[in-house]
Amino acid sequence: MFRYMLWQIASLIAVLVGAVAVLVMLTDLIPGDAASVLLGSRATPDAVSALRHSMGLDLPAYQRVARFLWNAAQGNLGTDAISGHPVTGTVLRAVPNTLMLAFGAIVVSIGLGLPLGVHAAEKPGGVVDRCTAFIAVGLISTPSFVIAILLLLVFSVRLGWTPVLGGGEGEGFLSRLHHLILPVVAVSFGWIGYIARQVRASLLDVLGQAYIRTARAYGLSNRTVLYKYALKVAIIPVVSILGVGIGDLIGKSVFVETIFGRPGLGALINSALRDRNYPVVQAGVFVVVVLFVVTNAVVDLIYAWLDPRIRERFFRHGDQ
Amino acid sequence: MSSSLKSRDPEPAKTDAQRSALIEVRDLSVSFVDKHGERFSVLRNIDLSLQPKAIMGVVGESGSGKSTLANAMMGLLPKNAVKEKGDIILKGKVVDPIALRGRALAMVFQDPMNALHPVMTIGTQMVDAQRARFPNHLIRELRKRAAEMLTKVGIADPEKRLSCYPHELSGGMRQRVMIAMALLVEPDLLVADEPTTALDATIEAQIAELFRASRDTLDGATLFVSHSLGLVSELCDEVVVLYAGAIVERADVAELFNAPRHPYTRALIACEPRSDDQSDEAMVSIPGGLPDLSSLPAGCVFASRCLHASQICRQIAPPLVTAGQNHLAACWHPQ
Repeated sequence: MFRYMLWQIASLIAVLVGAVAVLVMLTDLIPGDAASVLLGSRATPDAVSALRHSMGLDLPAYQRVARFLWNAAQGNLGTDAISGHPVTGTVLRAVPNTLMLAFGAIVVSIGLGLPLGVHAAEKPGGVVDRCTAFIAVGLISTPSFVIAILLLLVFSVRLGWTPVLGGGEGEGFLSRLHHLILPVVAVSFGWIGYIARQVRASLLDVLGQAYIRTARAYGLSNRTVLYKYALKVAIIPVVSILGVGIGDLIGKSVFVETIFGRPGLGALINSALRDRNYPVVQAGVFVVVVLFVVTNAVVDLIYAWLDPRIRERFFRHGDQ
Repeated sequence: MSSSLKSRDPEPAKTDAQRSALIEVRDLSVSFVDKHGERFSVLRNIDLSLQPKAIMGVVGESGSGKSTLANAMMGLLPKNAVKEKGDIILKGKVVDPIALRGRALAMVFQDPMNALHPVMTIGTQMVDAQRARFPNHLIRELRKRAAEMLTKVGIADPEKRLSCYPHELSGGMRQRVMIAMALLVEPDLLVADEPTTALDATIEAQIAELFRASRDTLDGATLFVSHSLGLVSELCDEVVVLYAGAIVERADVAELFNAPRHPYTRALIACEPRSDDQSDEAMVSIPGGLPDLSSLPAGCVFASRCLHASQICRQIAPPLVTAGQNHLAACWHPQ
């Protein structure tokens, strides 16, 4: 197990180094020199080369990667190219907003998707199943920003039930929750349908297995068979889907945060991109990658916790 | 007489065997319906009666309906199966097997690799299996019973095994667990559906021995489905031969193997490979195949493959009639 953890941490670091390398190269690949774009077309060559030097753009790529990682390890994610403030504080202020959105969306997606999927699998071809299938396709295929705008128009503008903009920063917990409702719904809409479909398919497969017949042969109630015996196995592939889904969730939050004016990571990266504020983009994407890698590691652990067969493979891995 | 007290019995006229029967199957017919609505008759007019502590063997080739019979007695028929008619009778009362699962009925399945839940411990599953039978027992007590039963079925270090997952045990060990689970329920009927088919030969012998020994623990009857005649001849008291969903012959085990009356039974016995056979003779097989279960022939179901078939065999189905002491056969020309 210990070696498995070490291996996980090593691959985590490798992914981070790779991500930073891609980020640095992107800065090079984008048309126009970052420094001259920032300073505008009338900047003097001296000013441009001075900025290039201070941003470290005159260094070879590998040195920039090393420098970024070295600084990041010490908690310094760079300097904002426009304001001149350290980026770390800006990014760290945005992180909680995004985490709240992502966490809320996961809770809502599972909280609604799981029971829907179970009901659909209980009676395949029944009313719940048909409705879920119909709604799920609709939910999955509608882009989250479209849902976000529609929700905003109906609930905030028309009905006035929810706030239009912002994340409720500096206000109480309830106000923050209130601001969270619509963005969470917008992000999780597609996921509710997706999880419901996955749970249904996975559960139907499991319900056909011999060990479910055994459980029934010993007179276990339908409820016990479904929720204790079947779901325990059916949930495993759904968890792995969630691991991959974190990336999608963060991608969606870029749009949704922008639309709702939530000061999260997505909105931060989006506005920094428009300003060509590359250090902020780099720092923001870096934090997103860190979140992604860490959640995937957590999902792996949950996976091992759910399935003793995988757990054993980890142990064997450690024994080698 | 006690017969006046039993005036609500479904049928007044009974043979001696039926009077002491623990569990009976009466006139059971089951069909499968495919997705085009076509019906396949998989079991027709099955009558069985099992005595306490008796082991009844059910033999027949693949597709003869023996597993369907086992599942029907457990109320475990697949969704596309239709019970056309018939009753399961326990201690003289018509019962719904679904309501008795885990109480009066328990089952051991063919494939022990998949019959146990892969991500739950043996202990949890053995405790859960007893819940319907002993709803007022504490988990601790049920676990203790499970450990004791594991010892009885020959599993050493039972406490440790209870916290194992199925993938940590061998196939033979898992089947022992399944048998222990069934015995824990103290069922009136233990249904074993080809419990040794998925195991290799040495393990097969051990598991068969376990069924034989289970008679000390089990007061109920056992229905032992198998395609291995050798196993059935060693283990069972009485044997039922199924062909294309119908009983073609039924007799005490010695009678059936010494004096088989139905040509199909004779052919089955001739096909059985003998372990002591040193000759180079080619394996015998019965030419032809099962009739189309969606449109059965008017006469005997075996007529198309039978060497002795005559005009009447092809026109009128032979009834199951007495062919000796406690011996029934459905044949116009019993041998």
